[in-house]
This record gives sequence, structure tokens and C-alpha cells, in this order.
Amino acid sequence: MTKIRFRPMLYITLVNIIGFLMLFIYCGAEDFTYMYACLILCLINTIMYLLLYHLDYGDLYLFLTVSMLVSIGIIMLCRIDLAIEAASLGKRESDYAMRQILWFVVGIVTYFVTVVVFGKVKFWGRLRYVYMTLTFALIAATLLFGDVVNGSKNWIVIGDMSIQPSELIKIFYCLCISCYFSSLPGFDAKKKDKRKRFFGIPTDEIVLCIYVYACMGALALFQKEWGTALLLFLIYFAMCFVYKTSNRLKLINIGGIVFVGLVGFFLLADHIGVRVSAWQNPWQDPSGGGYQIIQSLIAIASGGYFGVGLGNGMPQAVPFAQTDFIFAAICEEMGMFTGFAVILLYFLLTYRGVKIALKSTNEFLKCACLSLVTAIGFQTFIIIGGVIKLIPLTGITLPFVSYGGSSMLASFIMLGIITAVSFPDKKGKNR
Amino acid sequence: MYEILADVVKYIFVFVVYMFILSIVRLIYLDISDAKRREATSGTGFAYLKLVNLRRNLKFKMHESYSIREDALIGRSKRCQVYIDDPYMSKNHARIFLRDGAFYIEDLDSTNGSFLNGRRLPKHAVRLKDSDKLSFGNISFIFVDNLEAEN
Repeated sequence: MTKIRFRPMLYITLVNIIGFLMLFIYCGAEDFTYMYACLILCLINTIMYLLLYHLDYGDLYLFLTVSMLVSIGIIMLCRIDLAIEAASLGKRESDYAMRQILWFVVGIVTYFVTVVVFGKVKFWGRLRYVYMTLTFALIAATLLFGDVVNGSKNWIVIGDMSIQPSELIKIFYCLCISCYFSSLPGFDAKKKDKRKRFFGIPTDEIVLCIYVYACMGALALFQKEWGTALLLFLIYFAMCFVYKTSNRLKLINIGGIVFVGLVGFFLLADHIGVRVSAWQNPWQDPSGGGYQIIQSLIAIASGGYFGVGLGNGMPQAVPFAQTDFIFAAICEEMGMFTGFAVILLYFLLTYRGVKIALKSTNEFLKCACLSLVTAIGFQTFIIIGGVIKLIPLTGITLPFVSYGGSSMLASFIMLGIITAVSFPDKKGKNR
Repeated sequence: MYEILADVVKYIFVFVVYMFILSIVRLIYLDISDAKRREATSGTGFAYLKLVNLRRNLKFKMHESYSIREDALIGRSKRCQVYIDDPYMSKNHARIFLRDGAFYIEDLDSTNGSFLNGRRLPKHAVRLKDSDKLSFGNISFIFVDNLEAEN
């Protein structure tokens, strides 16, 4: 029994060694940077796994799945660095991989701290207005100090660092709506609904609706970040269905989203309209609006089932290959089967998360876990769907794989909270 | 040259990634079947075995207690109701069974023997009393009999 518990870690180490050894040979077997990177990654993963295993810190599969995803992501980023270097005639222009490793270390530490802190502190469910304030503060900060990058105003640049607040907004948003859903009267019909009412509608339902649409509106209309806005709506809508809220609330929401969508379509035709028409037929404007999708589709198609092999492809030809389009780069060099594997890994992650949520007995933690897992699942769906031209493309990151400090950090905090929910307390039961 | 190498390695890479997924799925499957078995044996049990050792010090996964209904096999085989992955255990080590309202323990010809209150079990079955101490390999249990405690 003990031996099988360590087999997944062995495969992760093997993937790292194969990937980095190939990169090492590819750049002439002289530069040992990649071997050191490989050593660091393997050590971090193994030590962290042993630590979690021996301290009995909740669910281990979450960490295993994520460390595999991060490994694949970092190998791909190293490859993209090399491709960009080759394309710019030997000049080193990007340093995505090394930064990503740094962010991975920071993320792991954050993960550990989150698991401990979130597991020990008990009053998270009562901080509804704190989360709300923090969300709006972050949105306001982005609007005031934000810089416009690629048509979206979602970056705050401080000196050398740039932060994407929408990643953090996501977490506070999930916690905030969890506070609301976990305080619902529940399925017990005998219990009386004691909530305050305003014209027959419970007041907290109104507050929630205003909060959700304010967040979405601010993100979509002012920051033009439609990906995150869509994500927030999907989380909220999924929670509405899971918690069997009244049909009235669902209808209001469907009406609301249709309204927001239409307003967006007509007011911001240059932003949304381009994306929708690029999705319908990217070949209409192959050098303009459809360029990204066409490059991504060509990359995936040239890879085939097993890929062209690490080092044989052209990942630098896909725009934003290091962030939004990393899935296309993975499919090109490592093959469609690795792409399927990545999707399967996210599937496992979501499955474990839902399982943890079902087992948990604390209403707020159950709800928080479910909403965060929904967030990771939908985020993956939105970006992979966009890259393979299943749905219109909106730029958000692929959690744990894409390059980006904010994304990495936020994803690890989310994972930490989910793990903390699975944390067994002293009685040996799940909370 | 490198292209050919990359061409070969890509198959190995995909294979390893899928082996990883398989190993995770297998672990999850084992956990689920484990939990189901625990659920099936708990609740209505007349008696249970309570672990004496500290779980932290053991090299293998154990539960705090194992419920016993009418008949329970103890051993290293996965079909045993009380499955203990201790190298000192035999595949089918011992058996606890209910006869005429009392529990009996019988050693199934194990290599290292079973001990009841520190004494090695004889060939024939021995009647168990509430709070008897049972030892197999490295593991010790306290036998708790709900029926006897109620009477």
C-alpha cells in the first residue's frame, strides 16, 4: 500500500527528467541551467508531497495533479523561451520559465500557509462584508491605477512588477457568494424562512444580485475583461442551481445576463464583435481579428496525435503562447494526447474538489470549496474552449499551467482553501 | 539527429503522463473501495477492534477501529475484513467469529502467531471477552464487545 502511494510522484519526477533532459540536449548539452531547474522542481515536489503525506494534511491527489500540471507548464515555458531566443537570433529576450519556477516556489509556500491558516481559523463564514469591500477596493484600484494591456485594463504596474487584481477578485468573490449561499434556509421545509424581506423578496437576495452584477459590470464594461466576467457569472449560476434557489432568481439572472450581453455587443462592438466574428469564421480576416485563432489551430493541427516532438515545433508563431495559448503550444510539441491528458488532469482536480465539498459538514466550507472548484473548472473550459475554437475566445489564464505570477498565486490560494476543507480535524472526521 | 531523438522521446513522454493519470485513478479507486468497506462494516457491528498503536508511528495506513459483525478475517490479503499491510502478518492470519452469542478467535496457522493478552493462541478457537488485548505482528488491538458490555 505504501509503495503505490509514491508511484505518482515517481511519474512526475520522470516527466521532469525527460522534459528537461531533452531541452538540455536541444541547446547543445552545455548549459546546465535546465538541469538545475529540473533538480529544484523534483526536490520541491517530492519534499512537499512527503511533508503533506506525513502531516496527514487533507487530500493529496489535489497536490499531485497540480504538480503534474505545473511540471508540464514549466517544460513548455522553457521551450518557448528557447524558441523565442532562436527566432531573435540568439538574443535572450524572455525569461518566462525561470520566473515561473520562482512563482511556483512562492505559490507552494502560499499554498502551505493557506492550508494551515484556513484550517485553523473558524470565522471565515462571517466576513461577508469584508470580502465585498475587498472586491470593490480591488476593482477601484484597477480602475484608478490600472494600465491598458492588449485592450483590457487589468494590470497594476508597481515598479518592476505587474499584478493582475482580477485573479484575487475571483477568490474574494467566491468566498462572498459562499457566505450568502451557505446561509440559505436549506432543504429543511419545516424550518421557517426568517430572512428580512423587502417587497416579498429577501433582502440578502437583492444584495447578492447587486453585488454579482456590479462585479461583472465593472469587469466587463470598464476593464473590458469579458473572460473573468463570464467566469464570475458561471460560478454564480452554477451555485444557484446546486443550492436550488427559487426559479424567480434564476429567471432574473437569465434576463440580466441577456441584457448585459446585448449591451456589451452593441456598445463595445469593436471588442466583442471582433471576437464573435473571429470565432464564427477566422478566415475572413486572417491577418487581423482571426490571426490568433488561426495560428493556434494550425499549431494544434501540425502536432497531430503525438506532437512533433519537443524542440521540433514553432511555438513562437502562436501569439501569447506563454499565457493564454499555452494549450496550443502543448498540443503542437507534445501532441494531442498530452492535451487530452491535461484536460483529464483538470477533470480529476474538479472531481476531487466536488468530492471534498460533498464530504464536508460545515455549510460555509462546503460552499466555498464548491465555488472555488467550479471556478477552476470553468476557467479551464473557457480558455481551452477559446483556444480550440469551441467558444469565442476571451483572454484568461489556464490555471497552474500559464505563465503569470498573479495567476499562479491565486490558483495556489484556491487550491489551499480546497485542501483546508478536506483537512481532517482531531476527531478524524471531515469537517 | 536531435529530431530523431525527439521523435522517439515524445511517445515515452505521453506514455509516462498517462501512467501518472492511471496511478492516480487507481489510488482514488482504492480509497473509495476502502471507504465503502468501512461503511459496510460499521454502524450495526456487535463488536470492534480498537487500535492500540499510535497511527503516526506505523509505516502503513490503518484505521482507528475495525467493526466486527459475525465473521471477520484478519490478515494481509485484501479480501480480509480487517486488512493490515504489515509484513509480519500472514495472508490469512486469524479469524474472529460469533457462535452462540459469544465471539471466538482462531489462529489460521499463521507464521508469526497471534497473541491474546500476551499469550500465544493455541490451535483451537478461544473465547474472547470484552477488553481483551490481541496482538498480530507489530499491531495490537483492544477487543470491545458491545453485547457483553450491555449485559
